[in-house]
Amino acid sequence: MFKLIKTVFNTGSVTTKYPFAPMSVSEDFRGKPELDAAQCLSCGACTRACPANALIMETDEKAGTRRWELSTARCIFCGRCEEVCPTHAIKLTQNFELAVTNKADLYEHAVFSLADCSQCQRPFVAQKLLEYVLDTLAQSGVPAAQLSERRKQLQTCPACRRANNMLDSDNISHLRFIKEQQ
Amino acid sequence: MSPLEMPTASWIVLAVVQALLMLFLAPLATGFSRVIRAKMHSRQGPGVLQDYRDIAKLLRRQSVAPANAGMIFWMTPWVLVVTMLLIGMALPTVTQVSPFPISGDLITDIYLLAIFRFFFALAGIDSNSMFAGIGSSRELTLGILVEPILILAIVVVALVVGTTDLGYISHALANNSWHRPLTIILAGIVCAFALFIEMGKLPFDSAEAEQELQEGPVTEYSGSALAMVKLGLGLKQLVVVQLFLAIFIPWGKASSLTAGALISATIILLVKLFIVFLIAGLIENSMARVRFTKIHRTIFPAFLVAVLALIFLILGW
Amino acid sequence: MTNNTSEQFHSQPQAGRIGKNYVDGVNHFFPSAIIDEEWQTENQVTITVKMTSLVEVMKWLYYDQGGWLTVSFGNDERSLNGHFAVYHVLSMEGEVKSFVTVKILVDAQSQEFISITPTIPAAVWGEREVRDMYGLRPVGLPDERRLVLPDDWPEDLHPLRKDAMDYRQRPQPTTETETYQFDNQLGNDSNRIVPVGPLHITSDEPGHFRLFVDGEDIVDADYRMFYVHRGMEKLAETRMGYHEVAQLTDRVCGICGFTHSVGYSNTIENALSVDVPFRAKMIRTVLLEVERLHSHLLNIGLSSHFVGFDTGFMQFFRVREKTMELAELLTGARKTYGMNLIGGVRRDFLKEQRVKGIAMVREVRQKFSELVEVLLATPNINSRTQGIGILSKQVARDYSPVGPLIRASGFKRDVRIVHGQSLEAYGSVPIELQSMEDGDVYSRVMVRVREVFESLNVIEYGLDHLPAGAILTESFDYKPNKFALGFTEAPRGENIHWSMTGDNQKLFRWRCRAATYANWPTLRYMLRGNTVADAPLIIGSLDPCYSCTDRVTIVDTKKQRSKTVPYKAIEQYSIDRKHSPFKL
Repeated sequence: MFKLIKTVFNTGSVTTKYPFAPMSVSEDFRGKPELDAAQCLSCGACTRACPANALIMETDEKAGTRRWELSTARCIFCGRCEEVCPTHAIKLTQNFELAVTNKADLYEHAVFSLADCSQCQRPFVAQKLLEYVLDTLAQSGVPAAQLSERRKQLQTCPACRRANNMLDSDNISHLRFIKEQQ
Repeated sequence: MSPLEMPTASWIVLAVVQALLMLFLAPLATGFSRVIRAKMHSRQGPGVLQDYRDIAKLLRRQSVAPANAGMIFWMTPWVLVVTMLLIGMALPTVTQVSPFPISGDLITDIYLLAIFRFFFALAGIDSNSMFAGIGSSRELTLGILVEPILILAIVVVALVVGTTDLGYISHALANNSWHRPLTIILAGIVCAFALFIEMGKLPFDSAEAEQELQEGPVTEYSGSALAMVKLGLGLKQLVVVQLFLAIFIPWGKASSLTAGALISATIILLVKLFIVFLIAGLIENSMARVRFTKIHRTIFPAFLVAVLALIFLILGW
Repeated sequence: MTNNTSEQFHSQPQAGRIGKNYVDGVNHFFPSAIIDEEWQTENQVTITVKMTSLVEVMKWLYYDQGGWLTVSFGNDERSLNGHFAVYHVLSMEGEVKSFVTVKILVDAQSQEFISITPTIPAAVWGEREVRDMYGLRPVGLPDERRLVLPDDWPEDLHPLRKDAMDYRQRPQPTTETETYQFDNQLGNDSNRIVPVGPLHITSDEPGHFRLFVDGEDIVDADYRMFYVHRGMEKLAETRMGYHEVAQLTDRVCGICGFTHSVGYSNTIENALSVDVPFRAKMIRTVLLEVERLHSHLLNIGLSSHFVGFDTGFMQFFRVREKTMELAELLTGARKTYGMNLIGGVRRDFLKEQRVKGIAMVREVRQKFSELVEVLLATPNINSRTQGIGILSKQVARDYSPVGPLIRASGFKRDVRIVHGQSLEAYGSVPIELQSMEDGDVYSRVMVRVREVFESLNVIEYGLDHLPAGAILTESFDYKPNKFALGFTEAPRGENIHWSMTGDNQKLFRWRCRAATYANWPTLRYMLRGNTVADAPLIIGSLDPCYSCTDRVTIVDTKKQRSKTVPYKAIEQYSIDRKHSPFKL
């Protein structure tokens, strides 16, 4: 009993003043993920990796935009998004004070514009991602002539590319096979 | 023996004021216990006035009872407060004699304490909760164990002084030299122990054991009724402590009804209460609850000491 | 069977086949009982036996060879081999330490299998659950009540069958009232009933205990769990990939989540023979012990609380806070969540963190030993805990409980030591098995106290001797329908996971058995003969974890419509008790 009282006496009060004083967390604490939209390519790697479906991406074809959305209510702060992001656009912060009074404040979003397919004029890929790929090609030393050829190719949506391939019948092996039989 | 005559008006005013003051200060006493508790837990804890806030809030709330609870359940909160107020009126807390000797007889006070316990237990049974029922049976068992010790210790003192009137006992012990010091000290120790149990603090709060019985008979109370019960229990602590102080530590009281004397006596009383509640708080927070089925083993030695006091009395020590 | 199983037989040890002797023994004493034998890892074998020999084989392995039943579960393998299957996993802790899984195939038409519960009582919950989830009838199982499914669940719908109703849909409730029969085995109707939980002050968790009392004495006790099913197994099978399940398993328990994700990751790593780097293993080991620290401190604190010594409770929590900070330092979150991937861990320990961590461990050790001294010197603690809630050796042997519960009853079971060679880095850290003989609440608390010191040693050693190297292996391919066990020693006892990979980048079946699931069935025996006052303490001494036990089915009581009831309306209703706003 006396030992207890001594321990108590030596300890004093350990109650912290939080929330009136800030609470410090360790340096690489995993708090709320923040997106640096300027850095983001809207590639969708984070939305694929997110185990809790807190990150989603939606394409609005009419407006020609792609919307990235984070729900802090669903987020489990695992940091998979940070890990898979190719451009380090998403980072976990030390922020853990995430209570809101309005449900809508739990969501964060970013909108990216899409590039249209050069053939069908339908949006299919984020403008930034396209530019990024082309820039990378340019950086890796692809000659200018070839680059414009590649640009044409890359600006075509997968559906159109498939159609092109079908029409280009020389390319298609089973037709060749049929020809030989005739 | 004192004749039971009506005291004068100024004494009655003092008695009523004193009882109401006690009622008013009861939350302060329990609030102080909470502060000690928080300090023992190494945490900040609520302020000393927290129990006032709690009770004020509860008094504004609606009181809900189990469907088949009866009259007793509703009456009990009032009975608890009133019995304790009656004792409170009679206690010679700041004066040397009892301001209201009609309820100031020791035997009366012991019965008033018994009524308190009886109704508390009855309300538990009446509330139809299994936990309250067990709590009630515990409360009564505890009463059977503690009351004989308390009675014996007090009777010993009464025999020494030759009266059962609280005021006279207090007066006699404060002013006359103790001609049987050993007897009175032993009786005092036993009485302190028994009254500590009466305060309903750990490790003897078996009836209201929170973790075991969800606060026993208090379980089903809510809102304003709960506030009254809390007030009654807090008042009981204060009254029981002052009963002890009045008999065994009677020094420093006003001998006349002048303002100066009363004020200095009040200050001395507050210091005494502070010390008692501090000690009680330290004990309460550094022990585990006694196993109820073994509680008699803890209490029985106290009974033996009380008997020893009686023997000393007979031997004239 | 007319075999004389007491005779000796000799088995040649075989390299890379630990536990081969058990298979040989079964072959020797029960010729032609084994249909198939399959090795998952060096010390894990699955034998498929004929239904008719099941009871004999199990009895021989369990009682004669020092086996303990760790988990029983079903599997809907009709798409693989046309049968249902029931698995009984035995942890063999005799001379040779290994895992033997006994599998039986259950005919898809008759849907009946032989219950082993009359012989080995430990299987009772497992078999009841198989009946609920797969609709297979255990022939001979005495307890015919539901275990997992709620009362209002339809009779013929078995959620874990592959052809059950789509998991996104809900059946209509079939009843409005509780139909579960509580069972008073020793007493009679004159016993009064004390309900404990879900809203008891010290047991504010989703479990309901019904104590049948005579005065203050508990005559018998029955209980019901599974109020909060989360449908995790179904969830993992239907809509999550392998890596996502690792995050899900973290959430099996609010306290020992990390052990579950290690357990799960181990199942896949074992099934696919993934080589986890040693550094990752050591990191996992350290974090498993960090988790044990805060869990044990919680329970020791709660034990003080249950006997009314709240000061002790708060003081232990003060020290526990340090261990939470240690977890935050090492993982970036106060809970050790989100660290595991199949093949290793995601975060490394940096030099600075290790130095800081070791300092914290030393501080905790010093403060904790002070508090233990105080606790043991506190009046009435001994009389409250000694001789209370005794788990007898016989009950312990029959029911295969785990963790401090069984170690306090004198059995030396702890997968960290018994199977330490195949569990993360436990084979190479200094650790001793702590056990006591008396089987009462006091022993359980003391076992936990000693284990805290062991954990502190392991953490300090691990942080100090962290081996160099990679922390994650990513070069492996998933193969369909491979399965294996994963096991860890959680603070409450061993957690067992079993998973089978599927052919669609999802699990075919994941079974997770949390420690408390194995401990609940013994509780009745511990409560008997004690007083009502001790019930919370005894229940608490199990260190029960409700949410990990309640992990299977999907319960949704939502009606078709919904409505928001304002506070005022509820208040009004509580005054005049008319016109319920809750009716739709």
